Amino acid sequence: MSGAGPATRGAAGFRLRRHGPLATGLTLILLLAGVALVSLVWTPFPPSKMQIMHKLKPPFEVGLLGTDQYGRDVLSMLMAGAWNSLSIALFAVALGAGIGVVIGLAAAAWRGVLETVTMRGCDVIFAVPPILSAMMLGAFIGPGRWTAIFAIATFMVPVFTRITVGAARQVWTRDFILAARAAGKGALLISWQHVLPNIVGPIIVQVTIQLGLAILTEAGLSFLGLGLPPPAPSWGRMLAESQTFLRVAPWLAILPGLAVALSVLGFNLIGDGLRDRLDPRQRGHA
Amino acid sequence: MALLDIRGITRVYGGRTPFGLEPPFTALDNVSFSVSAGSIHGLVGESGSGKSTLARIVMALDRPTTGDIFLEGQSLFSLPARVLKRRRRDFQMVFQDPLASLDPRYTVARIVAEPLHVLEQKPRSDEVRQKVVDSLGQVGLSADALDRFPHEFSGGQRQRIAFARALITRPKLVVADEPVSALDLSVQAQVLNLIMDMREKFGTAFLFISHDLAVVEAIADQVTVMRHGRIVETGTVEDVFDRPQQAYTRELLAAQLPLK
Amino acid sequence: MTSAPLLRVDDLAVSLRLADGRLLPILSDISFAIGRGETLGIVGESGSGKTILSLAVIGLLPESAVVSGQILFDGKPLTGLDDKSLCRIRGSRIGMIFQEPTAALNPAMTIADQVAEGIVLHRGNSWREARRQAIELLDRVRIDQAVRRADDYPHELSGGQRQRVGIAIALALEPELLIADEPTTALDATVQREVLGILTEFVREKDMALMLVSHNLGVVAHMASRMLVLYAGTRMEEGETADVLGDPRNPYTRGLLAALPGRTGRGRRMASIRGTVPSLAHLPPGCRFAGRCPDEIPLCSQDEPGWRAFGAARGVRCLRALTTESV
Repeated sequence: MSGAGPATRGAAGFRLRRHGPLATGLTLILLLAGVALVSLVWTPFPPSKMQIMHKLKPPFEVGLLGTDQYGRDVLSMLMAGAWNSLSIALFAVALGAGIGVVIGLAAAAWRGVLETVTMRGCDVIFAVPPILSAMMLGAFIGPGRWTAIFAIATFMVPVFTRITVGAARQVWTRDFILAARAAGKGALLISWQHVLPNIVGPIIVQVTIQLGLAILTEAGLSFLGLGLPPPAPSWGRMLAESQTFLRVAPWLAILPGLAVALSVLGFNLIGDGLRDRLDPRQRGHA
Repeated sequence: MALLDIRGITRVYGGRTPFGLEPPFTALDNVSFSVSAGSIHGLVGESGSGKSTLARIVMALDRPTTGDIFLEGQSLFSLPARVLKRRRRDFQMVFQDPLASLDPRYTVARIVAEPLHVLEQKPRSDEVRQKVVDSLGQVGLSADALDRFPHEFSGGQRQRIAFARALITRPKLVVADEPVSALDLSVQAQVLNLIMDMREKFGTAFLFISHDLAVVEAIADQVTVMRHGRIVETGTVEDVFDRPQQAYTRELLAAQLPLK
Repeated sequence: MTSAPLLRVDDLAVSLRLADGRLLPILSDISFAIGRGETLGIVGESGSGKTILSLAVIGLLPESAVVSGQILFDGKPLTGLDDKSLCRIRGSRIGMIFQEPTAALNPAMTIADQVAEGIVLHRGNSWREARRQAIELLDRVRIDQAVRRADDYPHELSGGQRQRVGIAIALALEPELLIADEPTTALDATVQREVLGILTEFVREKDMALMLVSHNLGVVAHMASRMLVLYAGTRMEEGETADVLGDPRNPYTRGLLAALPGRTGRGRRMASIRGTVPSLAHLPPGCRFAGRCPDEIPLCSQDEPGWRAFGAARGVRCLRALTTESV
């Protein structure tokens, strides 16, 4: 492993380097998930409740984290926003991964024209940024939860397709696949029984990374007004609305921004940690 | 009638494909020979000789460009897919790399039982388990291997698992593609003895593919020498090793490093 | 050996630090010496630690390795040298050939460039001059039409040719010591002969010391004047090749020889060593070969026997080897 200084040599250092990122990432995300779930049953104040007399109060005065221009409690909005961001991200990634992996497995199994068409299709979708496809979708079905989900998922499908095709093709070259064919199994059965279980590693890593990206994209969409419409709380929109009050109430911008950053960081750390655990395990010692 | 009759197998890669013209490469050129029931038939050749390509074609995992494979007189490539699948119980394969030929995510029990998929009547799960235990016993592994994973075993043991898998349907023919090349010397001897035991006990014929002439000489009855996709020479072990007819065969024999 | 040996390994022990902090011993009590112009064959199966030994000598052990003992090259210790000094020795004075020719070559560089690289780095020659020498070398290792093929990439070559390129790279700087780790295992028999021939030529011409690691007894018999047998991380027997092969004292060596194909005749069952190589994490108490040895006695499982030197430059680790003296 690279970057080993005197502080991280030796047994304890080894353990720190190996488990550090994963543990930190898990902590952050568990915190996020916890807050999101709690927000379903309780928030300090109702997130949309406007108390104009308490508008633009700094943290620790009224609410724990202050209030916005309408007197809404920032902490409550962040909590509810956490649920929205997380649920949209989860749905989008589930949809994208579900479709992408199936297409990828098929392309790797049957190759030929199917594979070529699939890969070029991915190229086409990659050419369109998710923000743009969100705007186009928004024009058709109006802004909202499902627009965001579909827009983000559209971009996820080719990501997972590519990963799957790459990993699956490698598995297909291995002898145990030949052995399965010698046992009379067809491509469909082999894809399900042998290929998929052997590529879950890279797929799971990708899922965690894409979850982080999904949260970021959702925030971006909301920032542009293409995500959840008001009054549903959303980090992105909080960021957008905070622009005018940057001088007098900086916490209105810092806090949701921090929330997004920490969430993305958390998922990335998990993804990195998982990736490290999965690879050296296979390579073993010298 | 021979157990396995390889007739005029030619395999050409490339040529016209949906994506244009690729330079054609002839991996096999009119290869023909037979394997008798219960014999151990060695197939020797260096890299690029086409022996692995031939192995895949004999196993009907790849279609030849021309030619056919006859198993007990029945043409494999004329069979409808369903019938071919059932016929697979009679011919199975063992691969070179014991680690790569076992799915790392499968337990030994599942691995060894896999060929039972070709049977018309799928046995009940307790019958399956018994067959697996029996097959493992034949290759010298105990039943406590059942629920373990390939990475928990040594190279030699993994290769035994591969043999247990190949033998579970009591095939008449086992195609062994470099089965001992990746094994240590001491383990190699164990696996070679296993092959000879299987032949004696069940009358299983082996198409034993190897680049190591010493190994082939030690266990084979018949030998076929290949080079660049063509057959150079075929005959009994005595014929080919003691009285080689072709210059290439002599070259191969001369390249061996004797001990002392 | 009359003069001081070029390479001397004394009481070398290597362990690897595992992820959970524990120390896994890989090699222990390894001592041997190689003089200039001499070829030492190191025979070991999987799990013997032979690759770690090669890496230890050339200083390419992984970071997690803990080394004790001494490796002396030309009288000066290699263990404990800083990276910069090691880099200067590596490549120019000690060369290495790896087992997998494909993995050892850079797929994005032409073969001539890869051979020339070392020359430019260590000798300071210009690229043009280095390339000229590189092409000469490629011709020397019998890459035919070396001039034309100089700008080929590794993937355009066959396995045998790639290994020969690997040899050219290792020999470009005329190292005093060459470590060859299974150099011909991935090659066909005919190519193997050629490759070994090239190595022999260099040994003779440049008085090069060759440390040849292989599991193939035939290769060792063909190339090495002396041999060392490794098993489960330690040495079991050493001596002149003819002596060890003709009169093996250690039961493991005897077992290996007996298991060679051809020993029992065509179509006969072969002699094999029962059991499997123990995992380095779970070595049996006493002698490492206990449990598999046809000659063992209860004493063998109690304490690991020490290394005993005897005769002219011979040594063995076995309780029974020297007590049951065969004259």
